[in-house]
Amino acid sequence: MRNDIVLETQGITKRFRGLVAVDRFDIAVRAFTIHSLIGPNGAGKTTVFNVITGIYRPEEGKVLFQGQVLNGLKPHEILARGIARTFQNPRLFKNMTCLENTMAGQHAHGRAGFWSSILRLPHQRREEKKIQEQAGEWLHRLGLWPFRHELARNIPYGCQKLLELARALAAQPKVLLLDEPTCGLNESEKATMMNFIEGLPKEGITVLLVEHNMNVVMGLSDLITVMNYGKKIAEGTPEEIYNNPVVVEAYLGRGESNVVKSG
Amino acid sequence: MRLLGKRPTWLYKQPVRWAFLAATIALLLSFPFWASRYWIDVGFYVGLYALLGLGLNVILGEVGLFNLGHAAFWALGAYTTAILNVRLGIPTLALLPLSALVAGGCAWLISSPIIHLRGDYLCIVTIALGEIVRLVLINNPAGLTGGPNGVIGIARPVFLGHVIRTPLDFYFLVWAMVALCAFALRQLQRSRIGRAWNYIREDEIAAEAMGVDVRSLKLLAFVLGAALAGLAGNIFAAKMRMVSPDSFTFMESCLMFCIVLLGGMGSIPGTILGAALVVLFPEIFRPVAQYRLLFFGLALAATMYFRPGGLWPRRRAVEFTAGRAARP
Repeated sequence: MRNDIVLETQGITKRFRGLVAVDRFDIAVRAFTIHSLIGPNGAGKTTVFNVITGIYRPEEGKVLFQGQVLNGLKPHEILARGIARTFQNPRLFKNMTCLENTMAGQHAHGRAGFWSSILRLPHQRREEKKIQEQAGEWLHRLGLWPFRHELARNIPYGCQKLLELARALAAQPKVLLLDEPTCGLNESEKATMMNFIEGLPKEGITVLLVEHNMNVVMGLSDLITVMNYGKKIAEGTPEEIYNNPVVVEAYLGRGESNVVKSG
Repeated sequence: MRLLGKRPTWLYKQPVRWAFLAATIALLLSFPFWASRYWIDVGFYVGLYALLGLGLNVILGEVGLFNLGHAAFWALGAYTTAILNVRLGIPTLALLPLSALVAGGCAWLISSPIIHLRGDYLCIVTIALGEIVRLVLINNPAGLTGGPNGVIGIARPVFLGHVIRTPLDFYFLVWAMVALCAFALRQLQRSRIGRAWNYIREDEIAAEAMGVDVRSLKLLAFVLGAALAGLAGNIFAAKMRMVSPDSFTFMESCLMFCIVLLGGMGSIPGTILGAALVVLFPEIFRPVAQYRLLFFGLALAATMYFRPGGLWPRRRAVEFTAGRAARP
């Protein structure tokens, strides 16, 4: 294992009854890069995310984060290690304010317990202040500060996507898993989102991205992994993937060109 | 920006809220001095159900766990007080914290294996739980619970040499507990723990993915809610001077459920208002007693239709104490 690899899966397999959603899948994400995971609908991309974040347990294989095995940890423990995520359809806390939503990211880093919360002990007050500052900072950076007291369900869809990103970033992750961050956004929102994601590696955040929009993927990625039927079918830089006949076939179906086996 | 019309903002201004709180406290403090004995007793029951409602509100309102067996924890608190006082002669008031501990401890034991159940499934298990506790009490295990007759002869509580005996005394005892619990629960609401409870209610998967230890926090809510019911059980036993299984029926669990739904899930003032309505409604409609339940049902249905969030829903706003966050 190269030591600049921060997140890695080794032969993970996830079955649902008879269906093999993910089949001996390997991916190695290098630190401070944007790594994309693409593939047709139902290829198993979101399942890979759910296995990495501990929502599903894989039948086989290992998930390694900074060289440590994550298998068997609960989702909240995995977040505390430094892996945060967003969801394809925003799963916000709809009846809570945007500020409260963003503060959720800081929950795992808080220590205040039952009694210190009731008694408002000094260390609890300091911690609350810190949680709010962190959350407020990310709201500012994503342009959501004016919405801070609005309920999450009342803000526009594009802002909900950004809010979910703010919530994940407030967790101070080392690796951020983004599940179709530009899905459902208009062109200008898409541009804002792309600009923002592009800057994350410079701040020490490694990004693993699932995306359908090829402009986004080709524009942002350092490396692309292509999946189909739960398996890895290709991996390479955007140019390599763009010219790879196997990938073209997976997306468009078999044409008259010869089929090339990928390694 | 408001997409759902204007809220009456003047109602939420800090001075208005303080004035309202002061008026409520003044009313509650002065009430027993101008009301009849009968209405003081009614006031006591409002306080008792407010305490039970506050406990259930933690479980149902804050975390969204459907618990239709809350009367079981009330019964556990009441019987703990009754048995230990009658058999061992431990002072009734000293059993107040112990009743809470026993009810909370039992809640921990009982809920550990079922806490992962979702929605309706948990609801059904808690209904069964309430019935099991009631039937066990009727069956008089080891001659402890006195079967259908219950336990009689509970000593009056003594507070600093003052015997708590009149309706007035009990009125103040129960409302002091309500005030204490409401304060503590409000502190929790505005803390990391209270927020995490709400995250779980809103979206359990997202909460877990954001680092919330869902299982532990659900257990904490269950234990805390049951402990408050245990407190209520102690006060109830002391007031009645006897306990029997008839007091802890499924109907009582339903009433507590209604209190939380009527008042507003996760709203502390809402729960107290809900308790007041649920207790006062049958009193007001006593002249037409045979139609009481009909009116009650209609009122509930109307509330659910016109105000699905409850009569006094919780206002969501975090006071931003950190000041305007500086841009990096």
